[in-house]
Amino acid sequence: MYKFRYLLLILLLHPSCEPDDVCNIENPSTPQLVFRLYDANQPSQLKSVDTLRVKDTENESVLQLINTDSIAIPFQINTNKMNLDFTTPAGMSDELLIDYQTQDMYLSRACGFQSTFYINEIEIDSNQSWINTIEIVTNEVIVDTLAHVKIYH
Amino acid sequence: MLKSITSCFLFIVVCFGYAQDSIPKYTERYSIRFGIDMSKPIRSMIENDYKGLELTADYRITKKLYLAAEVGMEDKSVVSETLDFQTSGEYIKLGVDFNLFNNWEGMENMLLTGFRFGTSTHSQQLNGYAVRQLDHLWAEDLYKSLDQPQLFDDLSATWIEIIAGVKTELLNNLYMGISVRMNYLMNDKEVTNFSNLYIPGYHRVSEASPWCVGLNYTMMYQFPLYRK
Repeated sequence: MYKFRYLLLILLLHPSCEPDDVCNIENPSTPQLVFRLYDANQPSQLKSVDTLRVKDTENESVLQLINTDSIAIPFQINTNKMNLDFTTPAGMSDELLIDYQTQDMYLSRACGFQSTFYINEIEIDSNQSWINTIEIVTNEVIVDTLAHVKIYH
Repeated sequence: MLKSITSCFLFIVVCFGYAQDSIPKYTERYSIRFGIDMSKPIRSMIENDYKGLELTADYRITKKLYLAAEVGMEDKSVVSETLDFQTSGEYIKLGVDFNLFNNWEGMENMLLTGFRFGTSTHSQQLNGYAVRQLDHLWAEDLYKSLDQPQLFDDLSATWIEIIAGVKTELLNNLYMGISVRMNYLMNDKEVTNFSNLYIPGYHRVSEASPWCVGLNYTMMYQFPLYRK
C-alpha cells in the first residue's frame, strides 16, 4: 500500500509531455534571397544605394529600401520564377529573372515545413541601366545569414 | 487378506476423521480475464478524427503476479495550423501486473503496478502543410495541400510503459479497471523528411521529450481456471 502511494507520487510529479506545440521566433524559417551590392569599379568594396524599390512584375507588393548595401527578398514558394524589378530614385530600372527550384523540408510539429531553394540561373534583362553585372555566390539557399548573389553597380 | 482390507479401511477412517477436525485450507482462484478498453470506442464515437479498439487480457500466474497483454488498432487524424496528417496502425503490449492489495478471502481486487513492452506497426499520411515564412511580402498562401498525399509506410516503434491502476469486481466475474501509464519511447523508425508524430498504442509523440501519458479504462470478464 505504501509502495503504491510513492509510485503514484512519482508518476504525478514526472515532467511528462513537455509542450512542443509552440514555434518560436528563433526556430528556423524559410530563407530569403540575399543580395549584396558591390562597387563595379572596385569589386571588393560594398557600395550602397540611397533608395531602391524592388517589386515583382506580376505582384502588387513593393519593397522599399533606404541606404543599404544588402537586400533580402523572400522567395515565392508557390512558383519557380520571379521577375524582380529594381528601380533607383532616378527612375533607372533593371529586371532580374530568377529561375529556381523549391524543396520543402520538415521542421517540427509546431513550425511545419520550411522551403529551401536552388538557384538555376539569374538573368539580367537586356536593357541594363544601373546594374553592371551579377555574380551568384552560392546556388543553394538553405540559410540566409550570408549573401547568395552579388550585384555590381 | 481380510485383515489387510480391514486395516486399510481403518486407516482411511482415521484420515477422514483427522481432516474433518482441521480448518480447510483456503485456496485462491486462478483465472484468465479478457476485456476491452472502453475509452477507445467512446472516443471513436465522440471524436471525428479518431478510431480505435483495444482488447486486453491478463492471466494470474502466482499469488501476486499477472501476465498481461493489450492488442489494438488506432487511426488518428491531426489537422493543425501547420500540418494535416493521419496515422493508422496496430500495436501489441506485453508485460506483467503486480498486485499490491491484500484482499479479503474470496475477493480478487487489484491495486496494481506493472510494466509493458509495446511495439507498433503503422503508417502515416501527410495531406498538407504550412511553409514557415516570416516575411509576407508577396502575400502568398503559405499552406500547401498535397494533391497526392505523401504516404510513409512500414513504420514501427517500441516503447515501455510503467503502470499504476486498479481493478475491481463490479458484478460476479465482471471487472472494471483503470490505469495510468507513463510511456517512454525507446525508438521509432526514422521518417524521411517528416516525423512520427503519433504512434498507435503509444499516443501523441512529443518532439521535446520521450515521455508521454496514457490512460486506459477496461471492462474485463473473468474465466476461472483452477484453485490453488
